[in-house]
Amino acid sequence: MHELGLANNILDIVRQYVPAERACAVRSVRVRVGDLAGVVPDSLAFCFSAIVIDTPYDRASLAIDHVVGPDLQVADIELEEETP
Amino acid sequence: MSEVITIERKVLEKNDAIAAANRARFLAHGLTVINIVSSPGAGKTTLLERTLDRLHGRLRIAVIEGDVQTDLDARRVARYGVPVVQIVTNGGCHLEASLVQHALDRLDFDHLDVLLIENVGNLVCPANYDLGEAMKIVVLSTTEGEDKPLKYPAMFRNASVLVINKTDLLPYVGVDVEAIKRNARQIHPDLIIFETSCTTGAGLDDWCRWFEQQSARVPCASASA
Repeated sequence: MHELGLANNILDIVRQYVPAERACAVRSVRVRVGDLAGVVPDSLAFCFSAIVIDTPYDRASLAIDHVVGPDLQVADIELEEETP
Repeated sequence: MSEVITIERKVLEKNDAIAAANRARFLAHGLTVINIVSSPGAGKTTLLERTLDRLHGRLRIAVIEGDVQTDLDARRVARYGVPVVQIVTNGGCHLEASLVQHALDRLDFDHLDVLLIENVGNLVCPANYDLGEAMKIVVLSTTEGEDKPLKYPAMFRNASVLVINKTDLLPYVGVDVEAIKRNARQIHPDLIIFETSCTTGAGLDDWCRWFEQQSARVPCASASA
């Protein structure tokens, strides 16, 4: 039920690591979702894809790693290499 | 070619940071804070009312009520002469630490022993949001069936206490209390369990005795501060 808020938290974290000028290079954000995290992974991915629309991060999607336990963690961000 | 930036940060880190600040405030004032969770209609508010009634004059208790809409619960609780703050989440399915932090501004910590936070009725989301409480108590009514601890494991894992409420209805609903306990302890072996009926009063003495002891267990870190 609260996946939209969580998706916003994830985008906030991404913003702290990727400056606006490289935002369009973000391809995927890998998130570890535990089976006890109380999160519906598909819903989280859907919410994330909805909130990045009309932002510089609109080419980013969530990649979800399913794990055991209460984890809910942003693992890493994959960006397209800058063309020299 | 691609570049990977390692992050390794908790999605709920902002909530956790505010919860830690809340917890530090509670400890500094020697305040015992309990987060009461359950599905809608399990009897959280009625259990709270019975507890306030029985411990009147023995403990100084304040209540924060969390609901999706209305201040009906706050009005019920206010009849017991205790300070009460209603949080209306307007659709939000759980309380977050920041909502509690704002509600704290309306309470006078110096004249309190216990703060009871009644969360939004929901067996899923509140399990994962730390509010800064000393413990979570989950209320399960007998009408909900034996399987709920297995179906909602995060809540029963994160709670310290289970109150099985509405035991007066057992003859009508064909539920086995021992099976509820067995399922709950399968998820959380150390769970403390009470059985209560707020209608007949059965089990409330044991519950209130334990509840009163909890407030004495928090060290008063700075009673003079």
